[in-house]
Amino acid sequence: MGPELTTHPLTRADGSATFSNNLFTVLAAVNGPIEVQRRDELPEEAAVEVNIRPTSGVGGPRERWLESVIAALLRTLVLVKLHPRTLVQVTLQVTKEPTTGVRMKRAVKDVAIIPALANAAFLALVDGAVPMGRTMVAGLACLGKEVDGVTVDPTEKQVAGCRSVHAMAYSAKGELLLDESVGRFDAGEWEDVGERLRVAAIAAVARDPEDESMSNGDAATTPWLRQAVEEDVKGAGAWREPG
Amino acid sequence: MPREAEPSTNEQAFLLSALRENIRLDGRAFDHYRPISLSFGDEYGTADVRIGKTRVLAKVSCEVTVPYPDRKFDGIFIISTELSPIGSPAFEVGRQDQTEILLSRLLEKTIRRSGALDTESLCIIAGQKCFQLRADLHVLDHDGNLVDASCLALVAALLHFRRPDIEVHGEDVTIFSLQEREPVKLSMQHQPFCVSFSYYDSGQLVLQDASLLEEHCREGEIVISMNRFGEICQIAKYGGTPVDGLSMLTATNAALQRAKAFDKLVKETLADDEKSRDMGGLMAELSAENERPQERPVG
Repeated sequence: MGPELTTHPLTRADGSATFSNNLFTVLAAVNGPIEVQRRDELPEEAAVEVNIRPTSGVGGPRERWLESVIAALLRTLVLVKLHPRTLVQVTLQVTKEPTTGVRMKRAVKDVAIIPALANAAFLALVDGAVPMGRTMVAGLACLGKEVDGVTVDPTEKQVAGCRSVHAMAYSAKGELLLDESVGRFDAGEWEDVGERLRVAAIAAVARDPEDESMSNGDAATTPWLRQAVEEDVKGAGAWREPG
Repeated sequence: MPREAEPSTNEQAFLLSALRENIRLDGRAFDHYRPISLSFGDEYGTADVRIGKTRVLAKVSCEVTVPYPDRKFDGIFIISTELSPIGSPAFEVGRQDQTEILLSRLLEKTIRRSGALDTESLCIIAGQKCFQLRADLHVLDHDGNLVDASCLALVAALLHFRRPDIEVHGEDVTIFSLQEREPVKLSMQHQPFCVSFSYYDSGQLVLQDASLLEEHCREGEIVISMNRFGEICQIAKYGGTPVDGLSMLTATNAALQRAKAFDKLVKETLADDEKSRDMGGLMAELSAENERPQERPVG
């Protein structure tokens, strides 16, 4: 089962989207390009600001760190040079977190939320028609306690009982854009995880889903991101259709 | 963007002249609300309220802490209303603006100071342990009438929330997780709702549930908080043109009708939600509470 996405759930924000996987649900809103405060203004490019708001409570150092990770990623996507001295403001509201019944380490949870945040932000940027240079897909994988257990898009229980989690983002061409890993793993395993996530990322935006699933026999290879973006663009351009 | 873009003079004049002919721009009657929808999340304590395009998400959570030393027998109840740029680009991150201050103050007066939630029931061991209840309001879309929507979401979320069950033996406290024991409802003493009225033409025209454009053009507002028994929790009028006493009375009467309608909506949606959770009629078996025959309160 792929992740669930909705585009344009909100009315006030320029672009908005929700993304939910097995663990988290994130609502993203994008405003931009808008007026920037003097202190954040950059003379030759647009400033990208990310705000993360947890379900309950106010954000702390954890949210600030996540914001810096996501902002750095988005800066590589958005064509910031096109809109100098403006601001692209991305607000990410976490609306669902894993249930309290499953115990998860703090560091593991911090990394596990990254793909949901990144994908929601990306889809909201697309919905807000912010010009971007590449397509991005973020994925989560974990290594099980047993020897050869790479799980892509794990469930709550799998994440709770794993020895390492990896959040990676790839472009549609398979370039690595983001890597956050935590836990115990060696270089070989990391490469293995990276390859699995790269294949999953390319499959999510694949033009023809048949080839991908045939070539490696993976189950979860619906081009979910392509479908969501296509639907969104179709909806946004509906007024152009005659009659 | 530090402030909301103001409507143009033409827009304002058009709205006002339409109002003078008893017409609202969206075709509603003066005392009508936009369509209200209330939905609950999968987790306990999440309520999503939409009034027209305005949308507020309320989330209640709790944890165990030490009570304040001067209030040993009370639990802690916090309402947090932090506005973010999701609702409107005019809301800045990390800076309180007028809307936010007024909203949090009104909710504080309506829910906390009216004693809607029995904080003594959140106490576990006097002076040592208590529940800290936290209600977070996330404004997702701001299209006017934030106060009514937030208050409705907050009350609904509080009614929907379940805190973990506890057992106290002397000084030993056991807190049961959701899997171990069915969590228990909060004890609410009454359910107050906010109803806001906007005034135009020095109190000649009164609108309920003003949209954002109507809010920009208004001369003053009154927010009345009331429960379904007609008990007024607070009346707020922050500046604006003066309003005579008689119209205040008609406003309170209208607020009562509205509070009853809100109350009915919340009760019905809660009942539906409970029914959908109660698969196979297991809930009654899981509950540790004894059923007590109770006389219906007067009113």
